[in-house]
Amino acid sequence: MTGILRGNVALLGRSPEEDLEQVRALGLDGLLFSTVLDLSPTLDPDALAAIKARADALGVRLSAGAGWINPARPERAAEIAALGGGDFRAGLERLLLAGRAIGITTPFFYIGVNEDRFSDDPPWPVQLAQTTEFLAGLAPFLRRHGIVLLAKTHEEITSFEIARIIAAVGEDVLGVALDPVNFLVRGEDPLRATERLARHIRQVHLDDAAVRHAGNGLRRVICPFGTGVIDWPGILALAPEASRWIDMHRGEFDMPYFDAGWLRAQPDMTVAELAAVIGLAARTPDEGVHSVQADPHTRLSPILESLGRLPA
Amino acid sequence: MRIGVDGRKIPEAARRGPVASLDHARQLGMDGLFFRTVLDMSPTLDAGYLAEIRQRADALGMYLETGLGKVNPFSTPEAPELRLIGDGDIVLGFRRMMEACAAICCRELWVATANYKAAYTGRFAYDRFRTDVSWPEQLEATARFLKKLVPIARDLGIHMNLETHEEITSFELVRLVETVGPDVTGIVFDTANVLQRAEHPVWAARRVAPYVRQTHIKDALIAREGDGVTFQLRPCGDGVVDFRAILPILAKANPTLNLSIEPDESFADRPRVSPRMLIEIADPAWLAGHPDLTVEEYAAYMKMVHDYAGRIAGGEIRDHASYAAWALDAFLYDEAVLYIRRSAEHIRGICKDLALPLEEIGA
Repeated sequence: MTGILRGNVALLGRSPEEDLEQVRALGLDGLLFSTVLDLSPTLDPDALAAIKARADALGVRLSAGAGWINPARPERAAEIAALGGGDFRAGLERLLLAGRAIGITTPFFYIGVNEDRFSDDPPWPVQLAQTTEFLAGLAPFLRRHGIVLLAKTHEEITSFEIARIIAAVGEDVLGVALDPVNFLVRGEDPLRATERLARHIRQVHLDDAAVRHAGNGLRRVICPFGTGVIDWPGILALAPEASRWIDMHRGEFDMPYFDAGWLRAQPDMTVAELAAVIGLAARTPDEGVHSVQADPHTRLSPILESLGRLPA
Repeated sequence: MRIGVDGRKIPEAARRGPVASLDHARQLGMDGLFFRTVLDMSPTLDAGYLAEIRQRADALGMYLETGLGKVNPFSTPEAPELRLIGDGDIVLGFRRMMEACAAICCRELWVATANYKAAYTGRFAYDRFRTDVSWPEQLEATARFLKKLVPIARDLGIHMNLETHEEITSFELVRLVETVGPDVTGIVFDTANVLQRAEHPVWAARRVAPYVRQTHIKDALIAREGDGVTFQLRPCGDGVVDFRAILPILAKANPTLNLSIEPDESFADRPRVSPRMLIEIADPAWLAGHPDLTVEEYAAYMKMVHDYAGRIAGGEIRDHASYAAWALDAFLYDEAVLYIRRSAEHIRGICKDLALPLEEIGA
């Protein structure tokens, strides 16, 4: 199964039903919504059921996100808290159950953004601890309803940290939405990071990126699929059962590893892994890879053409 | 501190011999010579001739430094003269060399752990990557051999100073000195060799400073090649080594340290194909062989490489290929002398700027 993230491809239509048609037209069989609220802002059961019926008729798998889970950042979860009458956990449980009712049993979530890692409000380790504690409290609910939340390997978090959260909360209720281009932002080698998380991976986000010497260290450059340094055959071989989703990124990130403060914020980093990521820059020709971060649409064709060449 | 030059690599060293090389060095404005082994001065340990070298140095007001040889039992077979001078007994050979050195008041003596293998490119040029005997085994054997020499050294008031040679890290050297004893061992700090172990010269200087008793003052280009970097000798000031940061560290720890410039050898003296010196800093096997390397120092090293790449790109510094091509034709006597003079000027200038305790003949 290969689907596509709805939110970042403006070529797709406006209503969920139109998007489902578009997915089929592209030859894909899955549609991933950033949040269940994009299917129905009020979580209306009838509206959700109608979309589910249309998806089933077209043979398209639906999935969706559960938004942000980070007690230190309530402003990002205001919509979900409102669903719970101001109680974030109650709202999240409503959202998860609404998704569960239409077969969305592995919703993914984000913990933060790049800036959170370097914030003092509170420090990143505290944010991780609070998030872990919240998820541990949610675990019985997840277990009871057969829901597995997938932590997205987002730009702010390392594979080491995600592995520790899963170990603390339980691998029966937490999994991984593997987004390998983001490992580069943390100075992690995508293949090695994938190896560390392999048994938890339920969902994979397809995109490609290169690494350049730039700024105060390195820069991640998003590029057309197949022209970057992500070892997709190697990664997919480690997660053969995972669902696959095209997810074309826009974020531009530097990895200023010459900056001692930045390095201190990467306590799990090893010389071998930093060396591997710097080494990736040697595999990126200065002129050969052109950055297309600002315009993800031009990347759709290369990735669609590549799908047939990926290992099954 | 005084500024001198390597006694083996000063131009025309072999042709002129040690005594005339002292005069030559003085003509070039050098205040000392550092012959890395006493056998370089006299292969037979001729006491009369060694005394003549000492007298000439004294007459010129120059320092005279020397040394012994390799002290890694897995490397000494590559230097059969060490055993020969002991008539088959290498410990006796070292005793004879040490006594000969003490007799001419040379008690700070260079030693080193292996030989660079120019036939190979990449990690096998360095004996820490030997596949027949591991580097930890070589280090242990080195410590054991040095301990056999300790009573002799103590008796004669000698320090055996281990060089930050190409194959060894400053971490390992500090441990060796602390294992064998700082009363009889020390470090010859080669300011550029540490680059070949991905050590930042300033960070290495901080580590070794308490034990540095002799030096090889040297600079080098380090430039990215693939996912590794290449190394090429350059006059001091033209390479990556930050002497402005290093010299105060050394001076503070040892204000009477001699600064011996180790120049590149002229192609007239030693016709050769310069080896391509590749440091495989991203290779997993190479990295596995550097357990003391930290993320912070590795990052600082890469920043140094990055900043230097900017100097090359800006045209201030010649790149590896064009310098190598130029040197092959042009690096003869005159250029080799210029290399020494430029290096000395750079070091002298920093010492003056920073008011470091530099002594100069006639100054």
